[in-house]
Amino acid sequence: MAMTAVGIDLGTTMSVVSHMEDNVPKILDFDGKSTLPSVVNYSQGTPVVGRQAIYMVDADNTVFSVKRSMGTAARFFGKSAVEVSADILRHIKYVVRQKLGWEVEEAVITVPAHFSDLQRVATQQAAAIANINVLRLINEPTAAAIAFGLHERTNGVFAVYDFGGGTFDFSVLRLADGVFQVLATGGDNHLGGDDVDNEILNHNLRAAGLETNVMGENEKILGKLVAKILKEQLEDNAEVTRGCCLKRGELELRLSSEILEDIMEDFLERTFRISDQTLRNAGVSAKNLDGLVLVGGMTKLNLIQESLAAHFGTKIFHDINPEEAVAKGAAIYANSLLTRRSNTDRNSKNFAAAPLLIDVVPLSLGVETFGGGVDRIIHRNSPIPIMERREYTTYQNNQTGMEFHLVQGERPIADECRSLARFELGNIPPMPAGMARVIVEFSVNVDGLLGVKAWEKSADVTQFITVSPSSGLSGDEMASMLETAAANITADSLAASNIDIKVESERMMKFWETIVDKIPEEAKNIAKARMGQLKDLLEAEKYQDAVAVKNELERIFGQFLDEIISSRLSGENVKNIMAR
Amino acid sequence: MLLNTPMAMNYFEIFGIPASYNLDVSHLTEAYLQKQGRSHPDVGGGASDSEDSALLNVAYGTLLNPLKRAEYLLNLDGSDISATSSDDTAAKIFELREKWASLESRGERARFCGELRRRTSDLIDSLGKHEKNPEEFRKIFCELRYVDAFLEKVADGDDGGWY
Ligand SMILES: Nc1ncnc2c1ncn2[C@@H]1O[C@H](COP(=O)(O)OP(=O)(O)OP(=O)(O)O)[C@@H](O)[C@H]1O
Ligand SMILES: [Mg+2]
Repeated sequence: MAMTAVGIDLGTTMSVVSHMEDNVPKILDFDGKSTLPSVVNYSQGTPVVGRQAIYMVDADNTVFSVKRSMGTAARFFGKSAVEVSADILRHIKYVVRQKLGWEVEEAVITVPAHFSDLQRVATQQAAAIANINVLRLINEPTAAAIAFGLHERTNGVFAVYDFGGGTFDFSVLRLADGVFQVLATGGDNHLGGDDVDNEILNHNLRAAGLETNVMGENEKILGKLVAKILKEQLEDNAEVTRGCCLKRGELELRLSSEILEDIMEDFLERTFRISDQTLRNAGVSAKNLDGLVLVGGMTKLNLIQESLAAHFGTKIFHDINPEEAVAKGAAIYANSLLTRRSNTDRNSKNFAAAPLLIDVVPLSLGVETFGGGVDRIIHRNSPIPIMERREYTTYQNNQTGMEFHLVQGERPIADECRSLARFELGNIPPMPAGMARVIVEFSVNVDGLLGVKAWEKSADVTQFITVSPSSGLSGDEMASMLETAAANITADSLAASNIDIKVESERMMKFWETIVDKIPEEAKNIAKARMGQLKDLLEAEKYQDAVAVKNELERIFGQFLDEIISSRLSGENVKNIMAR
Repeated sequence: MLLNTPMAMNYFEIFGIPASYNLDVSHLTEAYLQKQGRSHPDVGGGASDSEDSALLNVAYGTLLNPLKRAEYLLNLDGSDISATSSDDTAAKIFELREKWASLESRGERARFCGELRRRTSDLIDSLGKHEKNPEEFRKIFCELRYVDAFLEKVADGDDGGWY
């Protein structure tokens, strides 16, 4: 069977999945919406992912924005960030199996352009644990540019401004007849809508005469969710308010255009500094851009669009959906890779028509020098794949080993860069100081992943290391998880899907029963009738028909789910749950 | 910065363009994209292809950047630019650093960086005008190198947010 090309945008707040159908990228439906909240609740036997997890209003057992912890040692209920991400990916596989009837075995997965090597490795590990072979890791703004470029069929130099939930990326690209050449990229991994929500909450606490630290961690998570809803609702209103429950009582959160403008000023300023620097690195001035492409949910804010127009003075493109573009671009590129793989005739039409991507290294890579400085070996914005070598020598007589500390970042001091790994080259033959010739070779492959080799020229001692996260999952943990994953391949596969359908439908029915009375009369009547139907079909073991009805129910409830979640978050129900 | 792998062709020859500081950048890019379209791992795969693609990237990156291009040309000519000027460079960077440290406000620093960036682009232009004069070319190159190194090491590093 020909493999279907899949692209996965594993976002901080929202994940989006796209697959190719007749050469057109389609968006996978979750609860009647195009996005899956990247939220996982662990209070049940199996992880609950997405809108249902938010609906549970159970911050004590729920992981939000796990992407921010990728590549770190953080643990959530005993799980690493890699494992939590794997649970999101497993859920995605599950939904594809249910809705489309096939298995996601390979995919292009996107990462923020500014992700470090450790964060990229962690993303690959998450995919491996979920039994997904990563065709390619591509950078989010680049993926968006692919979707944009193929949609517009245009050539020129464009910038992508990607303001998402957790990260900000800015990339400058040249589009030339299907080749997407990244000229430079810049960004900040800790600049996103999440931080804005936090500020909105803090602003309200201050306005109420409270300290910003009065809320516990978990209370704060719920408060930020309410702030997020306010921010997203503001566009049609001059001012919005919603209740937010603190343990000590209810606090009304208020957001007006003026307040948001005030809060956003600082964030926008930071994005402009990064954008300007990146344009300089690309050797392009804003007025020479052929356009600015907006990506990321935050760019839906009118006030952002206005400031961008003023700051860049270039044409702003709105015609691609800022939330879907990344996943679509990933699916398109997955398709291009698969087409070329199955079609080795370089002169064939399909081969030539597939887009080609030339991306860059986002952050410089180097080794720590003797005095704690950094010797940069591969500079940021170098096109990939790339390979560079450096020669070092011993500084003591008869020195037989040499230690290397690999770092990533732009700071001139090693301690201020991200530490990737340390390794020692041993077995250097004894000789006077300065005589040994140690070669260190850095290579970055097309996934943006670093490999390092080192050897002494006269002795031919070769050491090859691929960087593995110095924090996060240990090698042993990873190995055992991969073993389990491999053993689960059959359990995960279609053969088991009837049981899946039954279990999942029953779980959903329970959930729907709790909310069915909250939806409008007309929809409620249809939903109740369909729920009865679904029950009968399951009893009769007519699973294929059951899936169709279940999907329809998801669409029906999907229309109201966000509103139900919102009012639940700011309504009285929350108190009961939090008091528990 | 000569590439470390032995090879028959120099970077200019790879792209079929004359070995000159004054090159046509759009011409270079066109040749690069065309070559990459045949050797990128995504269009062919295979270990040797990948090395090929990496070499094209190193060669393109070197010729595209005026400072690296000048250095590469000086290397091709056999000028020893690393040893003779390094002490001088260190002293000059030290001077710039002192000046930098004496600036107090963010605005002053930004202005200083702006000045240096303008100086950089002037130097890049004058390299082009002095290609035929090896002595002058080398002198301009050395100044450009330390200003550039300073901007990269100190000014950009100080910019924050660049983890
Ligand atoms: N209509 C809207 N108005 C204002 N903000 C919005 C709107 N829709 C979404 N957002 C905000 O956009 C952010 C999510 O954007 P997006 O889905 O692009 O991010 P992500 O992909 O999850 O994160 P990242 O790309 O950083 O990993 C959230 O902060 C959300 O509140
Ligand atoms: Mg995103």
